[in-house]
Amino acid sequence: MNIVGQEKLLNKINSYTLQTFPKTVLLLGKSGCGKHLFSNYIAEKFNSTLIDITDTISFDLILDISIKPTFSFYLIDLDKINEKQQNVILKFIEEPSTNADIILLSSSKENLLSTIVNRCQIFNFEEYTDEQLKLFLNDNNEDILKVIRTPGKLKYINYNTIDDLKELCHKIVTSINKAPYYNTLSISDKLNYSDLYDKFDVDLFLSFLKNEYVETKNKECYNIVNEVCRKLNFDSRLNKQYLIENMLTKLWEINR
Amino acid sequence: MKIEELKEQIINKKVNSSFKIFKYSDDKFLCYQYIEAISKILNKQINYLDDISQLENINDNFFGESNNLSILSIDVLDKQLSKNDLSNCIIICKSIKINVDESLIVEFPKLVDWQIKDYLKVKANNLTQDKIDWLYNITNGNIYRLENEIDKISIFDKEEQPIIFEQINNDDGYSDLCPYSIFDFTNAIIKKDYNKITEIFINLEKIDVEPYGVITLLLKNFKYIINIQQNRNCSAEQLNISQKQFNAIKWNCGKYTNNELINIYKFLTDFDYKLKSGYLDLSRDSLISYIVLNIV
Repeated sequence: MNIVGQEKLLNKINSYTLQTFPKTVLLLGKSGCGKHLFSNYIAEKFNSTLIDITDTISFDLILDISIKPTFSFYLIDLDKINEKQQNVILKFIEEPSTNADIILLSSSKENLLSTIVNRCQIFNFEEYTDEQLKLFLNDNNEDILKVIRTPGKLKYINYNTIDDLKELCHKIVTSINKAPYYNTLSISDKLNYSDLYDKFDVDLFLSFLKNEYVETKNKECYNIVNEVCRKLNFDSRLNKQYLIENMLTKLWEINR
Repeated sequence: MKIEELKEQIINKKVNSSFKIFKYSDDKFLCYQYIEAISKILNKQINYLDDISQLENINDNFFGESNNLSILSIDVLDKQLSKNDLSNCIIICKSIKINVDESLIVEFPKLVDWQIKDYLKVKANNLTQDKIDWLYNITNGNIYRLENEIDKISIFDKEEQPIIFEQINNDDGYSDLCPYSIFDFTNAIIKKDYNKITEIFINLEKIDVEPYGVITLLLKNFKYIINIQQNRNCSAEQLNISQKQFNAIKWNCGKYTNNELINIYKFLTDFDYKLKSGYLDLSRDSLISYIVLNIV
C-alpha cells in the first residue's frame, strides 16, 4: 500500500502487534486525509478483515459481532451517524468483544459524545506539506493547494472545470444584482455535496468567490461568504447545500 | 368470471373448487373475505403457500381430494403454470403477465368509501352513521385498521355497541389513530390552509412530525414553488419531477408573493443551521410552532 506522508502515524501503528493494538481507535482528520486508507492499512498489517458497519449499526448487530468466532476490525464513520447511533456504539465500546477491534473515523471531535472520545485511543492526522500534496495534483494550478489540503479531495477534483468555476464566481459578483432569485438559487445545484465529481467542489467555489469579493473590495459580501466557510470548518456535518443557499439568498438581497 | 357472478355463487352456496385467480387493484382485503366465504362453503381449511413452486404438490393426495384450500399471494403472476390440476387453489395477484383463460380471473375493484362504511355498518349495525364516518376518517379509510376496531364493538349486543364505542373513545382507545401525516402538515403550510394547520396542531402529539423532517420537506417544496412561480420557462424535466407533481405544485403558486418566498427560504435555511448546531434548545412542539409562525 503506497502511503504518502503521515510518518508519525505510520510509525505509531507499526509499533503495535495485534495483541497490543488498542481495542478502539479514533482516526481523527479532515475529509480526504486518508482515514479509510489507514483503516485498510491496519487491517492488512494484521492479516485481518475490515468490515464497515456504519450503515447497519444496531444493538442486534453488536450482539451478532460478540458471538462471531473469527477476529475482524469493525469500521464506523462517525461523520455519518447521529447521536442516537453514537449511544449504540458506546455500548459496543464499553463491552469489547474478544474478536472485534473497532476503528472509528471522524473529521472533528466537536460533535462526538465525550464518553466515546474518552474511551478511544486517538490517532491524529497531521497536515500535509505542499510537496506531498503536489503528488496528487493533476494540474499546474497550485492555487488550488491554498484551499484543498488533503490528498483525497485533490485526487477527485474535476480539474477541467476550474476555469468554469472561476468564471461562475466572477459572474456571481458582477451580475447577481440583475439575476432573478430562482436563477441565483440554482447555483447551489451545480456544487458537489456528496461525491458527485462532475460538479464543482464547494471549498473551491467558496474560496474563488471570496477572492472575487476581495478584488472588488466588497466587505459585506466577503463577510457573508467567509461566515459560511467558518461554519463548515466548525462542523462538517451541517447541510452544505442549505448553507450555500442561505448565503446566495443573502448575497442576492444585498445586491438589490 | 365477473365478481358479481362469484358473489351470487357464494350467496347461493354454489361455488365450486375449481382454480381461480383473484386480481386485486389496491389491496387484498376483499379477496381474503371471499376466500374465507368459499372455504366455509367447501368445508376446507385455508392453507397459505409461500412460493409458486409449492403449487406442484397440491392435490397430490393418495387419499382422494385435498381438505385444503390452497392460497398463493404474489404481486405478479409471471410464471407459466405447469400443473394441470389446480383445483382447490386460488392465486391472489396484482398483475398477470402470462396467458391465462379469462374465465379463471376474478377482478376485484378498489373499495370505495361508501362500500367500506356499509361494511362497517353491517358489522356494527347499531352504531350511528356519524360514528362510522368519524372512525372512517380518523383511520384514513384503512380497511384493515377499521376491521380491527369494529371487531371490538361487533362482539357486543346491538344495545351495547354505542355504549362500548363511547367507552373505548373515553379511555383513549382511539388516541393513536390520526389521519394526518407530516406530508399533510407541510402541505397545509404551503397552501396556507389555516384550518387544517390548526386541526393538525391539536393532534400534534399523535403525528410522527419532527422539526428536521418538516424543514427538509418545506425547503424542498418551497424551492420548487420558487422555480415554478418565478421562471416562466420552468418544466417538470428541469426540476426532475413528474408532470403530475409539477402540476400539483403549480396550483400552490401565488399563495406567497416572491418577496415572501425569498424570506421564507432564508428563514428555513437559517433555521436548519441553528437547529443542527444546537442553538435552538426548545421542545419539538415549540420548534414546530416557531416554524409555522414564521412562514404563515
